[in-house]
Amino acid sequence: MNIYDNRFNANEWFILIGLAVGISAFILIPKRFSPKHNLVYMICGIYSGFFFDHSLSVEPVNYYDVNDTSNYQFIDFLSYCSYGPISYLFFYSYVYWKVKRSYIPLFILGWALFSEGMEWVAVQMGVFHYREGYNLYYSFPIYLMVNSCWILFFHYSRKKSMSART
Amino acid sequence: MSLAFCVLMTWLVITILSIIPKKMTELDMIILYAVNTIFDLSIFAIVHINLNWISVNTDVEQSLADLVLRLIMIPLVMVMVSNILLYSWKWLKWIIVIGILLLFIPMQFILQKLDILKAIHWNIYYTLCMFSLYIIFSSLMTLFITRFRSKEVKLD
Repeated sequence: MNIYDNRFNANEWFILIGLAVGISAFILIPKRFSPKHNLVYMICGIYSGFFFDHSLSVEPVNYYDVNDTSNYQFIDFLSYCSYGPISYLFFYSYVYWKVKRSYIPLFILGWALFSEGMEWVAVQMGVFHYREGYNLYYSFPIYLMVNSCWILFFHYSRKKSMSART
Repeated sequence: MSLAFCVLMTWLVITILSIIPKKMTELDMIILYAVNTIFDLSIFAIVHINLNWISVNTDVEQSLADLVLRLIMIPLVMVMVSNILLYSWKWLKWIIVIGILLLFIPMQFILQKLDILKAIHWNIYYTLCMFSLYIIFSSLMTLFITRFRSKEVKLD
């Protein structure tokens, strides 16, 4: 087991403040989706976080550890939960800006760059500890892929709810 | 061999899930699948990484096989079980669910035989307890998601 630190410091504060800001944003901004869609758009982020962290940060690759130790801690769980408001804001901004089909790649690129920036801050705060030569830039294609999947899922879920209404 | 076995098992689960009559909408099942994956990964991380009761082989093939099970097969089995529990059958649905639960025992043996998992402080009763817990969690989540849907209908 790798231990990076054992105090309540920058990484924990970063996660808690990030989660609080995300939840506040979710509560304060005007609602644009049904409660079920709010739930599913939140879960998209949490699921993606779990999916990649539990496939990239476990053996045989184990490219990074999350937070203070390589063990699974409650603060790790909270850090995955903080992806929820981010995915919600992703879908919200997609609808709010009424992104045209030809601008979808640009929208995805913008969010991937924003995610890279957030990951860089998280690394500075001690949330992620890279191993085995893993680098911030390796996450970039993952963000592009995840964001593209989210857009596909958005159109799928919208189509489903439309057909359910008719 | 181990990866092929796990992929085959997963494909069988996908086949059965696509054939059985569904009591939930597709969106509900996607939510349930995602929530079950989160729960499964959390519990397994505690058992495997924190408590070290089970160890996963670190070879590429075996660990990929384990990921296929954790990320796809087990959450899909739970979605299947949740659908079956919504059937109006009285006893048959419980017999089927208990049958699915018991199938995890030979599954555990096969995973150990294929060298995917190594039981350090683990026995078959723990397997039953863990998967019973997954089924209970999945059923509760189904209740929550379907309540959410009925609330939404009322709002409309």
